[in-house]
Amino acid sequence: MNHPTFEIINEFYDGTLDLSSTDELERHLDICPSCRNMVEELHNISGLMIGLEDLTPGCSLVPKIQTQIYRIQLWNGWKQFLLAQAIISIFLLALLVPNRVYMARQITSLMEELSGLSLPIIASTVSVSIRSAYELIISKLVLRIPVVSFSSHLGPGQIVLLTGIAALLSGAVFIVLLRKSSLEVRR
Amino acid sequence: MSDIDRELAQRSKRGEKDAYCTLVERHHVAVFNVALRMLGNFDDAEDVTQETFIRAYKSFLSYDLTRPLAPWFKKIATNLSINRLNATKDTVQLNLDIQLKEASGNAMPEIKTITSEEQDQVRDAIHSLPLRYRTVIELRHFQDLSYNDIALTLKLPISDVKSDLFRARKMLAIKLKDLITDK
Repeated sequence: MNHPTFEIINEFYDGTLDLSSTDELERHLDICPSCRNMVEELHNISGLMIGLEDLTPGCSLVPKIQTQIYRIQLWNGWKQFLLAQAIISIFLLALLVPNRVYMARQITSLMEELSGLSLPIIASTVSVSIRSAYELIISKLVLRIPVVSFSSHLGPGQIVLLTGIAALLSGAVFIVLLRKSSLEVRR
Repeated sequence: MSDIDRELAQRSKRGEKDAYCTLVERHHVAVFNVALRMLGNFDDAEDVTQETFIRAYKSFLSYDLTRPLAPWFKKIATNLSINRLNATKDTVQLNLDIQLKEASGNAMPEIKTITSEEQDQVRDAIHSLPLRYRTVIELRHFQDLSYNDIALTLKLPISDVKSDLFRARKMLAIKLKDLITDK
């Protein structure tokens, strides 16, 4: 066998050379000190790298990372708070708008008109599906919510203000409950 | 993954705030050293370590807990280091989604006892390698990845990985000639 390339010796060293080439190379290494030296060289390079000790970062690194993590956790809490507020606001607005039954009927008739148009098959199917889903929501949910009697006496600004306050309070309650449940999980 | 890591990861997923911080304490030195070998600069390595744990935290909820955490942290750190070094190019981009297996080697090299000056020499030699070669050395020698996993990680053909590793080692052999012959 001629002297193998350093590339072949690399593969041999890493154990990825095929079996017959490995046998051939091992026989060659028995009689060739210069190739044996190359294998030894690889062995020493690996040994040097394994011998590298880990350096320690500055002692402020971990607290810095932990502060960042706490900030993210805090922000996540706020996001949940805002989401809860948004959901509650939408629900309260729907509840307090005095003419919501009339609005619901208007929207239903608009959907009917849309589905009556001569649209392409796909658009028409989509339109009919949306209409069915919407009607289901209207009949099962919106129209069943009792009308808040005093809301008919409120102006739009008062409704928004009332909704805002109620959403803020409900969001705060939601967060308190969430925190309490996460504390229970921790215990 | 060690039992402690698994428990901390599960607690962290359940929303316990301190559990993830304990994971940071346990793994920050290893992650920092990956970044330091790649970047060769203490401050940059600390920045990348910080970014690694924040990045990992943000995708922690979707992380499969059957997979070990340490290689995942190290790969994020390697990827962020490459991005930092290679901000304008996109030649080396790690694939963080692959499952890693233990690397197989022909022989286990003996650990060399070397002085701190010699350690600096080895670190400098690694850092002086071109980024592509430094990356394969990091993944093969320090993160124990097999050729196949390196190829998947770097999205390169296995033949390229072999030749990169061969060239990287050859360059290291030249740069560390004195140290190798002394030992």
